[in-house]
Amino acid sequence: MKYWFNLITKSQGKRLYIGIFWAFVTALSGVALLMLSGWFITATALTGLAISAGLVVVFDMYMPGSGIRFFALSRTVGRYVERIYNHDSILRLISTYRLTLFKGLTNLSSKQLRATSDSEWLGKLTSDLDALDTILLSYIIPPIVAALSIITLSLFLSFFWFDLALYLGGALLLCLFASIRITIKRTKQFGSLSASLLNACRSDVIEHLQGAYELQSHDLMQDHEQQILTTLDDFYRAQNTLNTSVANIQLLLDLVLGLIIMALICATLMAVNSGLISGGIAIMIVMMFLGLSELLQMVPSQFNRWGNTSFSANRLTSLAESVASKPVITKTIIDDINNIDIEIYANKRIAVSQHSPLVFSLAKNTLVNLQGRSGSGKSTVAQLLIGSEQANDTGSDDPSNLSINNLATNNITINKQLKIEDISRPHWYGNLVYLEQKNVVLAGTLGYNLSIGLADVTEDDIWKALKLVELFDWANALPQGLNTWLGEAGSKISGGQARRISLARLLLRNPQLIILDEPFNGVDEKMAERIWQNIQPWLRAKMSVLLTHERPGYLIKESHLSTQEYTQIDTGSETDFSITEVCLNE
Amino acid sequence: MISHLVKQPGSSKQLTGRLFLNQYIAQEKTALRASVIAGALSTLLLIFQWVSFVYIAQDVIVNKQPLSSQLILLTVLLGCIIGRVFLTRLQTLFSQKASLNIRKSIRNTMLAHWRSSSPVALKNTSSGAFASQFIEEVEAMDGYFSKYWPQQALAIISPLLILSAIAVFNWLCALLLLISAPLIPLFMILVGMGAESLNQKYSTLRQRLAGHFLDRVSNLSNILLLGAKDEIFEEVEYNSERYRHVIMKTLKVAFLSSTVLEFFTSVAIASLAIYIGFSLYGAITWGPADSLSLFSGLTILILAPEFFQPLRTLSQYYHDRASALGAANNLVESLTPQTFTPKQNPPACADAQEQQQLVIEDLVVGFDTPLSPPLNLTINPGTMVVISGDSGSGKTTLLNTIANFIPALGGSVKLKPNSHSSIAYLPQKPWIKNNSIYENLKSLAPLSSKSEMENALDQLGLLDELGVNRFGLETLVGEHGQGLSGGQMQRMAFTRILLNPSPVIIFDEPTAQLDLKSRQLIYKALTALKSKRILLIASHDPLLIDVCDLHLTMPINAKNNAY
Repeated sequence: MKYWFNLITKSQGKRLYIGIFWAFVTALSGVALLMLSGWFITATALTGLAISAGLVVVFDMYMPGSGIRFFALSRTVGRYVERIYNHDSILRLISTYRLTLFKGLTNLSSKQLRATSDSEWLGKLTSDLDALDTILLSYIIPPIVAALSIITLSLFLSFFWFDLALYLGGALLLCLFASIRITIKRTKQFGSLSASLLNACRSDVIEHLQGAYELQSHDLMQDHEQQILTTLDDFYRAQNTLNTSVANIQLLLDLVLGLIIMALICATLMAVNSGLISGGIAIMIVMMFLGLSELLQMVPSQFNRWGNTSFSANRLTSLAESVASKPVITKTIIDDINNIDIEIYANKRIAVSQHSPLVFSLAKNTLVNLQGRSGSGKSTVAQLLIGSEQANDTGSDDPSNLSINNLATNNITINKQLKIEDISRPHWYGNLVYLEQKNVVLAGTLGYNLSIGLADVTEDDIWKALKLVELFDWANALPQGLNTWLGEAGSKISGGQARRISLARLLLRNPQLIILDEPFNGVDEKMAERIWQNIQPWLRAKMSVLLTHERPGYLIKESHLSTQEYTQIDTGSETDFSITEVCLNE
Repeated sequence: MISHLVKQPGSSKQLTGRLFLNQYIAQEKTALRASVIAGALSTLLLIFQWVSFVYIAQDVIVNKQPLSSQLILLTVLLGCIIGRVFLTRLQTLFSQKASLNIRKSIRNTMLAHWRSSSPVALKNTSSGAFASQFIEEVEAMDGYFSKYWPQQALAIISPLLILSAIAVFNWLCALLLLISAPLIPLFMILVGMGAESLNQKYSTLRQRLAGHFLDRVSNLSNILLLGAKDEIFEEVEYNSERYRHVIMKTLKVAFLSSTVLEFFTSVAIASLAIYIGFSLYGAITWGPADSLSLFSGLTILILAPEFFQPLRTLSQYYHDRASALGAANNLVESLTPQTFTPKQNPPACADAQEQQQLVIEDLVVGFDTPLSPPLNLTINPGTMVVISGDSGSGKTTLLNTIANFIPALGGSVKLKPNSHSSIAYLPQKPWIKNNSIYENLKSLAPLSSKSEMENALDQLGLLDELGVNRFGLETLVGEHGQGLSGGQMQRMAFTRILLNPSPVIIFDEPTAQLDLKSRQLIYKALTALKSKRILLIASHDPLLIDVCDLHLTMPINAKNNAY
């Protein structure tokens, strides 16, 4: 919370003062309008009576009249400008910070990223960050403006009646600070509590619904609701406590202000009795107090979200700090990759490596076809090749497994000397393309999806790539062509089309290492063969890894590649992952 | 008052949401009315408070009487001030209580709806979306019930009370306020209509922006691989700025409507003040100007802002109404009744050990068109049936139909002799709660003892692997390891089945994508379960096909080979 307070006050600078100025003008105009009107009516009434009594009195009607009109206008304009200006300030800051946090996300390891669900990241980037606007709009500006107004008007009052100004100003300032303090103190805990309980309830609901198959089939849906209901009850209780204390603080504050105005009425009218002040001034003082107490009465409702804000702020602070303190490690850069040696020992995710080490090499002009059933660890090999730390994670750190884990090592050596871990990650990514098993179609246009990450790509290149994956005619027939929106809220494409778009995206690059994981999933065999032919020139002179369930048809019929040119690893050899013989009959 | 005047676009949709809200308001009518009454009484006291104050002031200032002669009125004044404070407290007490009860009963309705929904239907919407409906959207209605609804009534009652008080003193001033008052809702409707269309225009854009963040965050690793980091940063920056502009635009309109109110209030007060001042001075002599005194003039001046206050408060709560209506519309849509009827037998089926026969007669499955020819089958206890077929051939549909999650297109599935007994279902992706191992087991086997649980865990090799023998059943899942592997999760699901087995158990691909050890332990568990029960397994596992008693192959459907 403190972190964000500092950040907002420091980065705002001049804007903060301008914002406070406008809010102050608004508050003062409101009070002044009431004061002047009260005085004006009393004064005119007294003058009117004096005139009808036959006295000659000089009274300027027009000066106060235009004053009233001026304050009426300045209050309206001030309020509008103040709200727009201050909201703009905080939204600007939030927008900048959203980018900073997003950059921070890219620095996190994939494991750290996965530890939090995507929707929770979204929550952090949107609602949590948006929740911080209360810091400026409720916690900084209004109390400062209220204090400034009290001081200014007390100073004004001291010209008429110094003692009263001193006491009234002191009492109001005391009310302001006490109500802020008490509100924060009494609501903070329950605000945070109810926010965290709601979050807990959310995961309860998600778990409940995810278990619907099992629960429904056992008729245990209602039983299982208990957890949700318990959390909800706790939440209702916390929220109720919060609401009750806010309402009670409001009651106390209203009561104190009510007693003060009672005392003020008595004091001013007695002063009129004794001739200390005129009737007009007395009414003006009462009206001034009315205006000021309106500012004060807002405090409990302005500060009752403190707990929620600090909950959001704390969720963000750790991320924000990790962004700030990210150490930069300089790593080796490699220009030419000649060969890659892979040795995998006892990797938990690659079943076959637990029996004997998995060893193979990649060199230029070669294609390695790794065959294995799903779950055999093909994708893990690919993850190791792109240098993802997730693949190195051995799964369980249970102490009982330590003996196995000690043996588990993955050595990926490049050009016979460099370890993959030592190569700068962005640089390594720049040298490879990886077609994942999952199709990645980003929410964006077709052209965007193909050219992403490429600075200089012509529309011609894109159409050529589309031709290679046999999507030219389809794209050409689209009314909006390359500008057709894909992905979420976009036009629907089939799995096979998504697959080919994902492949075409890679064809626009010129990497040294190509990893293709089931490149023709969802594409029929004949088309797969044709596309495989089409992309031969691209595959040439590079090192490629092809991951498939079984020996693919298009590879057997491949005529351009001679058997020497690629290492086909057959069933039964050590890289075949599908050897899992399990006997059910003991 | 305003809500009835504003025409909503797409009114048929709005109506259902509004009806939904009214239905719940009817439930808590007493508390809500009590809240309105407290608010109205508070306004009455307010009038008395200011009338007595001004009377005292006039007596002291004009008549030069000592303050001490007004002790009775001073007591009335003090009583009014204190009374109002407590009435306000009562008003919030009642409205918050009503809102809490309403939210409770809406959530109970949702839970009951899920209880009577087929899991297949629940799968159609992401559980995250359901959860945010259950949490945020219901919470978003709080403001509508606790603030907007009572204020809607008070925005009519309170100004009328104040207006009649003012009319007693000076009919012209009352007339002036009466004329300006309807102007305010009128202007607000104009501005509100603008805001409505603006909101609608930008809500898709806003959704797209949120979707953009979610999309890019979930594809972050791929973006890094494609070297598109900087490009995405620019996008996020651009979108974030656009998001800001959109919010600012909506805010500007919202502020404009409150500025209109503010403007009217200020102008009305200023013109009243000037009119009263000039009348008192004697510069205005027409109309009821003569009847004005300091007493009546000052009372009118003080009451005038209070006349507008309820309307201003209502406009502050206006967005509560919009969000509640939006949420209600979403809820109404997702609460549409379904055909699914859950079994009515008591939970945790006491006669789980009883032997049952599964009789399938002329069963045709599919959603609109049959996926397979009619199936006739009688399965005796102690039988393991394996169903295989290409992906998309309808294995899961068949299993879901047998489990009564999807209505059959024809034919029937019956259990004999006890037709109310349940069929357990283990989906492809095992369900693991982010909680202790005990809680995970208990949620599906509520009657099992701890020693039974440990025994079952041991049978599936989890007792040691998850550290239960050292840390106990209260160990959190994945606490002493970095999450569970797929095999461990599947074995955990099997542990629950062992603890609370039904006469018929359905498994969807129980051994796919598992490590060797897990697979072996699961084969063992299946063998143990088989003796007295019927096991229906969808699988391609050759080993399971080898040991099963009956192997069904789903017919190849030409339609599924399209791509």
